[in-house]
Amino acid sequence: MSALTNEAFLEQVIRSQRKAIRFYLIFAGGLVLLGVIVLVAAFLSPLWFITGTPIIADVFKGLFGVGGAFVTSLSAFQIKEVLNRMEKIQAFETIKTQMSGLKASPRGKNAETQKRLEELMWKIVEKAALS
Amino acid sequence: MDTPEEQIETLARNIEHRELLARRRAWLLSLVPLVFAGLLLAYTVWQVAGAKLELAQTEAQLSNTSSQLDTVESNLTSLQSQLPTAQAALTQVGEQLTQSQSALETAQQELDLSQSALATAQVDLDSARAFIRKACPINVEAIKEFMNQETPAVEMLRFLLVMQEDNIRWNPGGFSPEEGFDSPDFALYALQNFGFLTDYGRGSRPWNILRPASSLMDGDIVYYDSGYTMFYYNLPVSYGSSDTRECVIGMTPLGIQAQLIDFAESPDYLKAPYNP
Repeated sequence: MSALTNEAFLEQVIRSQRKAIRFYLIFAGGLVLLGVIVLVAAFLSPLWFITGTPIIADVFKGLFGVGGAFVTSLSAFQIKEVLNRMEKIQAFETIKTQMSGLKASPRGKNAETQKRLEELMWKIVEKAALS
Repeated sequence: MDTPEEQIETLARNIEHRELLARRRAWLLSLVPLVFAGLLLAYTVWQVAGAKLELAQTEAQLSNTSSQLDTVESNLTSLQSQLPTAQAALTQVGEQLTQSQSALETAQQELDLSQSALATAQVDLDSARAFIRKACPINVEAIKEFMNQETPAVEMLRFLLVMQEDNIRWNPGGFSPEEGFDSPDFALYALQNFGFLTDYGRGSRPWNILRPASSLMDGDIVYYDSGYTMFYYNLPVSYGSSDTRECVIGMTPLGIQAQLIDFAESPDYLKAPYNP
């Protein structure tokens, strides 16, 4: 496997990870937005005051407030995925930089180092990208 | 055997596929709690809607009850305003009832008195019946010859018949023809009227004054346990007949009556002062 191929592959993996980050960010944003909508509905909706009984209004406020907070908290899982992918991207970027540096140096001198980097990259790919 | 480019391509596809699966998993893992939360909220909204409905029904019932309570209160107020009138009427009825009870008691007393008088009259009637049953009718024609005798006993009989015609009345407290007599006092009065006895007043009993007799003669005294004190005469039944009837004449509750000698129980005899 050539260095050029590895570099292209790393680019592809990094793009894939960025795409996943976008998805998770949008997903997390959607969840936060949904939770905020529920929270706003809980505290501002005029529906609860139809009967004019403060007890029912308070019950609705409490329930919908808890519901909104719960929905919003679900976005934490997506944020975790985002952070995970950013770490992977960072690792792939580091490997990519190292491989670019090796490509500029003489082949015979750094053949062993390049081979070690490729093995390391494949380990990372196996562990991070395919796990 | 694939070329390295093909292997890279396959690997990239695998990675893409796994990313796709990871996204789907993220969708599912987020969607499940969302769906549950939505269901719970919907259930809560449904429950609250039911509670609202019950609340509205309860409020309607409360309003209805309140309305009924107002009506009852109004009725109660009306009844309370009528209460003094009713109390006055009740007091009036009570007074009338008291008056009626008083009148009833008076009527009851009068009834008791009437019943007592009726009982007394019944006793008197029974007594009168007894007297009538044991009466000794004196036929003037039948005793004409007997009356022609000039003896003190016959004189006494004439006197008794005159007193009978004068309707001398029975009166236990009296001692004169105007007042009346009881039976022993009348016998004493008759004897004193002819001068055979003197100075005996009311309550002096003949059996304490006269001597007893073993046999009877006309004009003798017969007295009974019941207190009757009568003059004895053995009178002919009819004119010219030899049949006689033993009669006694004296004061009774019915006035001066002639009775058969056995009209009362336990007779005892007293000798008249004018008989030997």
